[in-house]
Amino acid sequence: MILKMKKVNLLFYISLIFLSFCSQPAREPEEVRIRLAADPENLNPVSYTKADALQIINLIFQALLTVDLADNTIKPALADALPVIARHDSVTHFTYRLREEASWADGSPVTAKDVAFTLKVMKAPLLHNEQLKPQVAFIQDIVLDAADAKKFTLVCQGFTPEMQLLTGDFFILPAYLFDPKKLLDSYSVTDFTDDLSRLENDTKLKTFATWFNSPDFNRSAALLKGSAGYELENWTTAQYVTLKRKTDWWGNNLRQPVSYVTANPTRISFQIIPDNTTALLALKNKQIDILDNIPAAEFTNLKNNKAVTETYALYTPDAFDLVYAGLNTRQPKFGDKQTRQAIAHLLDINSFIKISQQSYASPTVGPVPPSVKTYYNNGLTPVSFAPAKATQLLTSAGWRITPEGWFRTVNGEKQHLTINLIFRAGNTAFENSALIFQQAAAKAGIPVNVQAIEGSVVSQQVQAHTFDMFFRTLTGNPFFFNFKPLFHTSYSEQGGSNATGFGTTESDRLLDEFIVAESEEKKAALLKRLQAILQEEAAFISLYYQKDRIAIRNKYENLKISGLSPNYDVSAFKIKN
Amino acid sequence: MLGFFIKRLLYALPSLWLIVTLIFILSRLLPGSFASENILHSQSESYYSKSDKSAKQQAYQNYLLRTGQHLPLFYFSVTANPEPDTLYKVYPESERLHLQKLAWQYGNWPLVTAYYKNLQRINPTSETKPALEMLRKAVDGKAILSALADLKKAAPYSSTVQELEKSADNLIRNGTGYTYLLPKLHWHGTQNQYHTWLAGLFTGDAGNSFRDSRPVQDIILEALLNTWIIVLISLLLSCLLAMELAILFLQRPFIKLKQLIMPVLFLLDSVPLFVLCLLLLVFFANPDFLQLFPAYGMGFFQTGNLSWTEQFINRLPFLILPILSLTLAYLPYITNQFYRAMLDADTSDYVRTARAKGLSHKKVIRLHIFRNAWLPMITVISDFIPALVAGAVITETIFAVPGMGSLLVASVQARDYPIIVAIVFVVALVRFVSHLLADAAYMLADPRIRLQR
Repeated sequence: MILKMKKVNLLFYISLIFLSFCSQPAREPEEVRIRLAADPENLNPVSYTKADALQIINLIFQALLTVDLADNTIKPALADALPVIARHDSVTHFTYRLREEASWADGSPVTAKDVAFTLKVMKAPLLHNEQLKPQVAFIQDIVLDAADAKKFTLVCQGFTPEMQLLTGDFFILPAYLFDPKKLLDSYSVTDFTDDLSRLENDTKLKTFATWFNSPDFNRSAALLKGSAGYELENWTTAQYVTLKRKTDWWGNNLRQPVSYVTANPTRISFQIIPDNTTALLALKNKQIDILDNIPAAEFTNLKNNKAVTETYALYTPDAFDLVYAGLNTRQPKFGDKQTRQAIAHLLDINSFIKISQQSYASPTVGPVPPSVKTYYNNGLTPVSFAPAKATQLLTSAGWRITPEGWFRTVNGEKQHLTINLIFRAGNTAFENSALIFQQAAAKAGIPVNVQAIEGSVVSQQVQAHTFDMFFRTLTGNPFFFNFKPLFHTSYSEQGGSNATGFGTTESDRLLDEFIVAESEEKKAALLKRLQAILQEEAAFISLYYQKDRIAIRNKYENLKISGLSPNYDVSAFKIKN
Repeated sequence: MLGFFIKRLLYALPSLWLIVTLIFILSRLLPGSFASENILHSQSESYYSKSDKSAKQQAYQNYLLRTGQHLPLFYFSVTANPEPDTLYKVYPESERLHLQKLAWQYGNWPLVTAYYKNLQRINPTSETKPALEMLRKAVDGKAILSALADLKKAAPYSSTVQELEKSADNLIRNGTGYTYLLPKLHWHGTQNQYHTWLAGLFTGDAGNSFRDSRPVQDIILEALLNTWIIVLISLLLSCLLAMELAILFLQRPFIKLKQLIMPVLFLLDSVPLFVLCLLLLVFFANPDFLQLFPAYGMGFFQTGNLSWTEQFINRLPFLILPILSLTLAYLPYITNQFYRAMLDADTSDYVRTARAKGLSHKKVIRLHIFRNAWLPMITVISDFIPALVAGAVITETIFAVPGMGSLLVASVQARDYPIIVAIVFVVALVRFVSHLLADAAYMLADPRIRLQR
């Protein structure tokens, strides 16, 4: 019997060795493989929640406008040109015309009616559209052109500079496929703009809601068919999502080809690998072609690995993610700017960048990215690490050092200078920076309590204004710089987006003027002054702009590497000859 | 025997119910919710706001209403006496918390609402804003009065401010403190989230996932199959190997082998699982060392129709490392337990008798020792059964196997309550069943065991 078992064992080991020879399964030819860290969960263009999903939906559906990653500018995608903007008293009109050739998967043309249908789906009650609904709340109505089925005007409330992008930033849905029974035809967009409560028992709407809210609309290849060059081929939950190029796509037959409306690779496959080490090994194994968000230390290792650099090209585009520190100006101890400036001088930004980002970041003077040269204030220098200056500033702010720390008495109240620094747990860059700051502050006599807490708890504390200081990341872009929600005092109430409580009369004026400024010179002047005030006030302390770290198989060209997510345009990839 | 099992089942039901109910309620006490993360706080950290606060708030409330999450959590709730039972309807949350604090401080709800309504009527201007913000946080009488004084300075002739002052004065004067020490029971009836969920459960509907709206059963079944492939195979493998090793160790000729393998097993036991998984990856899926297996996943997408066996063969290389890691992780403990159990039996009288009868060593082991060592072995195996549904979080994450472990982690991170509760329910159920099976196996292994009635 034992002998028999031994044989079984032997057999097992032999089969193990045998299997190892067929270990690398053949890949589908001409397939670009991209690593995703998590399942996209929902690919519905109206109810998706994850950034990963957005990257995939972008290959299936199209919006009116798009960002050309080759030069980081906004270009017309489904529209044939940027909108014509007409400003009236309280409303603004954005007039678009759809591309002549644009058509759906069944060959029927994309028309203004589809845009109207999309707006209805995004605004209607009872539908699973709550994530995106607030984004189109400012669009009040759509006026279809009587003569031209492809032309329409969006009627929007008020005006802000970013409206141009926002009016073209949602995916256009195929009415023929999403509403075959034409249930939403009898409603107009304005029906969904006013009070919605009267519609909540509407039978037609309820029927449509049951149909649209079904899980099929989040993942079915038969329903998720847009106007872009790819269609969903296979989605195996938490393993891979595969897209296939459409056989006869309208974008390939444009009379005047457009460099950013493309569908080159025949197949794009998103591979879901949660763990970073595994993803790196998959890269070394050539199981994936694109890997982004590579941890800084690993990226340096890859650079020095010859086998990797022979197969992959490594890129570090300047991203638009700002890491900043916020001080709560509502706290009496941080109420004066000298104290805040002293704290800013204790932030050793160069060490933060060196240690937590392995130097893959650039210091900045303010929230405008250094790569946006027209608006960046070159006249300023980033706040230096200067403990002596910090001590001097604290003394002139009325603080006195004692063996127990810094104290001052304001209006009969004794204040002790301590800092409770919060940030999202699990972010090692924040963790390292916090420890560096804690040491520097301890040397200067300020006790800093470092607290890594759950992301949602950070949000709660920041919104409820119960924090001292935090580290956070701000995602930006190179086209719109409407900082009003971040820095205007009208947004500083509880739950408002101005969490630090920053704001002076001058900064409020600058922010208001920026919205209506017409010329580039004027805008640049306003923003540069704003950066100076921000640095002076030291409530919102900009630390650095990160660089993305990406590896892409070097057999591809026409990558359009950019600092904007997703950092490359996979639909444009071509194989080098 | 059947009667015994039915009795056990009936005993288990209350504890199952209790576990699931507790998880249902506790999971909702996690800070943040799926909806607030995705609707209220989405894009909150961006350059320009894509939408204003009130539109987001409205969308958030619509979502709660649509998914029934606006209802109270349970049949009843216990609050402090001055709190009204409709407080949960107040949004945003910061306002609700402030109202709650005021109610506790002054113990008189009508006065609190009168004061609060007046506070809301005041127009925020750049002058009144700082004082208003103070008032929105102030609870203590002193703080309210000092903020009110500031407000009066900012808007001295406003009638609304005068009314606010009156109501504040009334509140501070006539408030009754300490009534919050008295508890008050609110009855919500069947219009509550728990009831809706439980009623659904009885009709076989465990709800839908918040993340992709698919039915919870479907998602769990999908993950369960992936978990089973790796956990079941590695559990069977490690049991078989452990049994063989234990039998080998008992035999004198293999004493050297035992001395060699035992320390290796101890060493293996002390290696954390994630290190073991990463070591396997670095050694066997790395072009810098040995590139024998793919690094992740459970197979790639291939076009064309593949037969079941072809699919399985395609999958095999992907499965080897995860299965190996789990087998190596389970092996030391199981081997040790099996060996101890057999060693105990080896020293007993009946084994000596068997040997005296002249039976061969192998026969003694297979017929006498093995049979008697079964009982502790059953206990060990039954302890591992719940892992079949609980999954193996670390192995699943590292090797990108979408099983139950990673599903649970992802659901907790996304606050996907329906999935969290369902997983806990399934794990509790299987743990209970594994105990039942163990009892049955005890009886089969040893007929002397008489069950208590």
